[in-house]
Amino acid sequence: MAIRVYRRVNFRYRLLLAIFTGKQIVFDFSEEAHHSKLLKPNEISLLRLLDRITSGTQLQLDEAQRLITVQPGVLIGGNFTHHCSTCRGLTYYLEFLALLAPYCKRPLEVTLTGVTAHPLDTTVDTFQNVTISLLRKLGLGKDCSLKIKKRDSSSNGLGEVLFTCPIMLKALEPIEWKERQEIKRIRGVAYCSRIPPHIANQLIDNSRNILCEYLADIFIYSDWNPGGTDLPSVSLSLFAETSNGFVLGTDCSWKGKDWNEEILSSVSQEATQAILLQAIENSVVDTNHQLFICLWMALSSADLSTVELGRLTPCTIQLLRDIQDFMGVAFQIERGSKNNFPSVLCSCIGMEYRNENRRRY
Amino acid sequence: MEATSVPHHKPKTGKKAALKKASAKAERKLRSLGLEQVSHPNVPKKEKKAVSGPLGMQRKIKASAEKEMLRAHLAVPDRTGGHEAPRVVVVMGPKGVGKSTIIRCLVKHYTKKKVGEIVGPITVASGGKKRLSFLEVDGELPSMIDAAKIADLVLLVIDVSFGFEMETFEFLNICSVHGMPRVIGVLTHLDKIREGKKMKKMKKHMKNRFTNEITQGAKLFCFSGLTVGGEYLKREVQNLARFISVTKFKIITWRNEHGYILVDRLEDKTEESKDDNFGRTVAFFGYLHGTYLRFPRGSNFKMHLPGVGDVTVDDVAQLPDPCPLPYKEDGSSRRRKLSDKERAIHAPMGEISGISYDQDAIYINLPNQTVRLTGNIQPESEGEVMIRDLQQIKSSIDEKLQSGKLEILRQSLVNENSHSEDLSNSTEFLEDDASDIDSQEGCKENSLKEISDNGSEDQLENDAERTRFGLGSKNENERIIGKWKVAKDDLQVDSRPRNLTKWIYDKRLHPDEVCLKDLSSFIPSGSMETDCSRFVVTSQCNLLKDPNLKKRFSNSELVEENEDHSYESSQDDFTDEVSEYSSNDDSDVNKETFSDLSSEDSSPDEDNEDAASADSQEERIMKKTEKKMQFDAAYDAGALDKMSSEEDMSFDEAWKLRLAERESKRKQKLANLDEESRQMMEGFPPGTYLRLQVKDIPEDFMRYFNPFSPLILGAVKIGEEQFCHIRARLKRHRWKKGLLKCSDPLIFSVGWRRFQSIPVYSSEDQNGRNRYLKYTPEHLHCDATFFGPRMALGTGVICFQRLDGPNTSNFRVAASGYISEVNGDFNIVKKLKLVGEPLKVFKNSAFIRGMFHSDLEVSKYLGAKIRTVSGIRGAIKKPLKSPPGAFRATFEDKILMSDIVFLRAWVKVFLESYCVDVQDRLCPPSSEIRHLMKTLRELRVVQQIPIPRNEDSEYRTIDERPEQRYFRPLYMPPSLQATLPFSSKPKLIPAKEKQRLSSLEKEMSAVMDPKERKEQKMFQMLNTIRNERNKKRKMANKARLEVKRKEMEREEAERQQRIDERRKRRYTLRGAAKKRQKIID
Repeated sequence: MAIRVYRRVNFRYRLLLAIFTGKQIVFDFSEEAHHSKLLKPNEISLLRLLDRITSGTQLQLDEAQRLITVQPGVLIGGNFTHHCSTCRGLTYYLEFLALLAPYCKRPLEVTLTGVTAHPLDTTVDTFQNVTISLLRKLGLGKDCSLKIKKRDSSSNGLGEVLFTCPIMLKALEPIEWKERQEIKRIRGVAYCSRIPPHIANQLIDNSRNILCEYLADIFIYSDWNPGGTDLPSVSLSLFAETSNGFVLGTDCSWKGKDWNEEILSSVSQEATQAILLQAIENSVVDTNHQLFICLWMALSSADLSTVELGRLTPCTIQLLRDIQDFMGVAFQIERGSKNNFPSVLCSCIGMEYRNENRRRY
Repeated sequence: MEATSVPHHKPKTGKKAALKKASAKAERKLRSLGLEQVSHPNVPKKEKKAVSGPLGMQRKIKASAEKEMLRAHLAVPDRTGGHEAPRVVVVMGPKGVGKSTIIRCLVKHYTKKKVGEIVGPITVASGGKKRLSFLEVDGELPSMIDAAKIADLVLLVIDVSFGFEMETFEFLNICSVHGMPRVIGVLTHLDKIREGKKMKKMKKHMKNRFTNEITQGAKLFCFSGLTVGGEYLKREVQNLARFISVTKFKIITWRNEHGYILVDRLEDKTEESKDDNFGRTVAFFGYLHGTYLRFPRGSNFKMHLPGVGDVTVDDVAQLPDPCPLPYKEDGSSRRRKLSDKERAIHAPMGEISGISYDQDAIYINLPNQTVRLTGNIQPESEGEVMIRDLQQIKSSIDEKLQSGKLEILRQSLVNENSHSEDLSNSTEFLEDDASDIDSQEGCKENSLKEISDNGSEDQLENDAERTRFGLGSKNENERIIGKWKVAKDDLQVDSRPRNLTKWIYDKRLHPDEVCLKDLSSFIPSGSMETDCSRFVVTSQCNLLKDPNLKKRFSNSELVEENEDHSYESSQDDFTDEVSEYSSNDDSDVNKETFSDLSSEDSSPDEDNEDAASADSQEERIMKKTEKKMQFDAAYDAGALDKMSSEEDMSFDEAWKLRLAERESKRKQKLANLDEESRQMMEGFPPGTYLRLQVKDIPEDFMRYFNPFSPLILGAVKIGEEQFCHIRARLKRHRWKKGLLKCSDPLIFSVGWRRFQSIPVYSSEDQNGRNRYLKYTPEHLHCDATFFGPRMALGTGVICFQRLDGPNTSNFRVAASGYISEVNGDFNIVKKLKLVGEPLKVFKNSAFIRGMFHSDLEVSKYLGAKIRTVSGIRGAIKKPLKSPPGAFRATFEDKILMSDIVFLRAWVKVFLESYCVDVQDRLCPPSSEIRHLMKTLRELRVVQQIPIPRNEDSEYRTIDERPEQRYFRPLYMPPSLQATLPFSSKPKLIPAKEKQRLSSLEKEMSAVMDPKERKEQKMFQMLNTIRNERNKKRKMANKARLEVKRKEMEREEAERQQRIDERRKRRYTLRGAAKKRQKIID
């Protein structure tokens, strides 16, 4: 029974749902605006990546590339290298892999090459500090890690990361993450390339100036790449850790021909304001990871999972709808109790998804 | 009475006396040697000491611990909803053993009602909160398989006068694969055995075998005989019922994860006008068993109907319980006995108390002499009540139709349930059923409309993306806020409800709209199109001025309080707090989180510790004392005791506690929800009576419907519709005749499904290679890889060669096992030997031909290892120009022209993608099942094709020996020999050398002295005497044996003659008798 989806929304997550449920999915882009009727390079790269970590996946494109049929196969994982499209940052692919890796036949050990910081995606630093910590919280242990081998944000895609993740043998325990406490420290990474190294420090200072008013324990590292890229680029990633161990991350990156003070200040301001926004919301994860949590809750064992999230983004709302369509898992969403700090309480009974791809002896 | 003490008489003769004597003697002997007494089997042992040695104690502890561990099983969360669903009692046995009588008796025991023929399941209320569904199953394989999948309790009926039958064992085998239910054996026809002793013996034998088959202590009932009314004795039935009521049912993994319905009623709902052969719409009714039934939205979902295949469920509705539990949930009723009214029974397929259900009508059958339908007499049976109701009707249905609003069953049910609104108003982007083209068209239109509606919003997203760095230009933001205000005005009544679920799942609303409804000052930055989930702060947002913001940071209070103090002092407190938290459970995570950054976790201004002010120190002391007081109070209250005891708990206990906690949380949450959202969240609970409407069921299903075999509708879990290659660990059943051949079709029963597929058998080598096996091994497991629907790992698999076919005395279960792996493709290999021969031999290289056909083939194998029969290894180097397929190869030594060269390779075996549901319900009962593949052997039998014979494979006598070959001896140069270590040096002296040495000896003559000569002569004489004697003895022996042989021959001849005579006599007599018979006839 195929599921047909129209409009290009949540491409990655719809693909993920299809993989988890084993259902055939048909992406119908024929009604899209003219320019976006075809598959984008990053989507093609993602489908190639999917082909790599699965066995028996069937991809079908009609001649006009407007009807894409994906019959997902069995997740096998393994050890390989993949060159990602530079249209999107590496985290675009990493997030996809991070959700699949625990359910593979073999542990995943993948080297991805591409862009490490992209304006549309979070930076690899955020992935390393926030997403990995979430994965570890699920019980994947220290084997789950990301190593940033080379940074690069040019269209050459010379950045390189190594992502390793073990497999999960049982269904996820029900997730109960509630009542985040206050933020106790903030860390960060400022990165720039083809720009004088003191610019990174300037970013750090800008950010610190705002944050100092709220917290003392702030430490932001700087990283500088002297050249090798085609265009100057900067990125700032901030991670806030709460007293009970939740990590929220935000970032902002820029790439362009001419850089000036205004751009730099806007980068730092945006990242900093975003972290403050995360701070005021009573959520256990940042906005970007709402999708992760929702998906994990739907996959967890058939008990009650409850998670406190911030305001739901359109993406999350779409995902919740898709989860109901694909898996039949419906969430109950209520407003959080603390009025000053906006939050919603999401609860659901998971579908008890187990790693059935592994081998049993 | 006087007690006389007679001394014990010691045995003086016999076995015991001898033993005692021997032991006494041994003891004396030992004592004389000064040794202690050793233990003897007949001498009583010394008393054991109270404290045995350290090793003994260790062993004891170990043994008991091991025993405990063997017994231990991790508790499984129960998702079957307790006793809500009726338990299925399967009464199984071959034909004519008395199954129906048992069900009739039990039903009569529970409900005091008489049942005629047992058709379909019969559900009765057996206790206050218990219901049982009885199901009769005979020896047909499909019904046995289906029954084994749903049975909670099996009553195995065995005819004692006949003994165990093959069906019983087959059924037990199927049960054990699909999850062993509780089994109670029932012995019937005991009255046929007249002799008391024989009966006793038979019972004992039966009991022995039964406990061996199932488990030690399995319960076996004996029904001693029938009453005049053709029923079993009341007392015995009562005993059986009592035993059923105390049975604790098992949690079976498959049923703990899959909901299913045992269909007790079905109706053909196809429209009259439709005369299409394919596509009946059928409504199935039954209790939901197993676990909760949850399905993806859109309400079109798949279920499996064994015997037909996967079916699409059109509509699900909950119906009022036809056989309600006598006691309500609150358990207020504490009576021991049920009143007659509470003894409900539900068996719509059969006829009970005068009501029988047909496909589209209900018939009420009332015996004339028992009822009077006039007058005011209290009606007794259910049928009577219905008739009386009919009598009271004032207007006919037609009148009602004209006057009132018609409430069709289906709609009313949908209204009762949830999605009616959603369905009617669906403007969905997502549609589940791609097969239904019409609905897709509709959906496309809808989505087109949607896009035009939301066009502005799409633009909005793009704009937001573009203006991300400008933090949103003012115009844009104003527009958005304006839009939001309009949206807010629309929903002023419940502008900000507490529960957002309705908004979120309302597909009429675009996610952006939902978001805007809920937000005030933020707009989403990442659009759904780019898979980004982020917010950006707009210029309208006064985030930085928000007074609440400071509270969100751990040292914000201190900052407020000590505004005049130096920054460092607050810093100090902060570090304190950190250390406090580090004792938490999450602390290790905290530490790890930043492990990738450098170790500078503490603040950079740590050295200013001295600057801490005095009053902050006081504060700290106060805090500490407060905490101490809290601890003391807790200690006194015993809270700590409880904590420590929790730590002391075994893993198993702690796990059980955790499961209970989760269950209570789940219940608490669901109890607070209204019915609709509860159903949305957890689905239909087990025990509800459901009506499932299924469309597109083949017409043959209704035509050949057989109510005597159980009909199940099993939920297909998400992911189980996917088809891929499956590997199962399989073992041929030891009672199955013959081996199973690779690539012969086999019928698998896995989960709900029964399908035919083509397995490829293989076994894993030491190096991980999967080697193809032509046949299943004897008494060993092997891997079988086949194509089929995905199932959870560890699910039981049972295989049959046929489900239909003639009655056979052979065991029908072919093999059983479990699923071990799934994959898109498996690499199973078969050994391939390519053989060639030398064309020309050079020194270490040679031209080889006959191995390949062309240059291309050779070039595929460049560098491949080859070998001669004698073991000389080599490699393929380059193809030759002619003859085609020849190549140059090098070897480690010179090969011979007569050598055979071969290449050993592994070829992947092609796995067929063949899987067909066994559709036995679409065929007339007890006929051949259609659309199934036949094995090669069956095909040969049908088409009368003999087994092909290969001449070369036949054995034949070899007349001419191959040419004898002589090889030159191995020559080892002396220089090489000299350098070899001793172990490698040739030790045997060649014959030539030996000869040379002996000839040398000959030439030398020995001179002996007289004494030596005398000795020599003496020896010679003695030898001569011995030789002579031996010769004589041999001659004598020969003569004696000759005589004996002759004697034997004579005796044999005489015996033979006697036998011949006897035979002759016998045959003559028999011939004569026959002749006589013929004459008489």
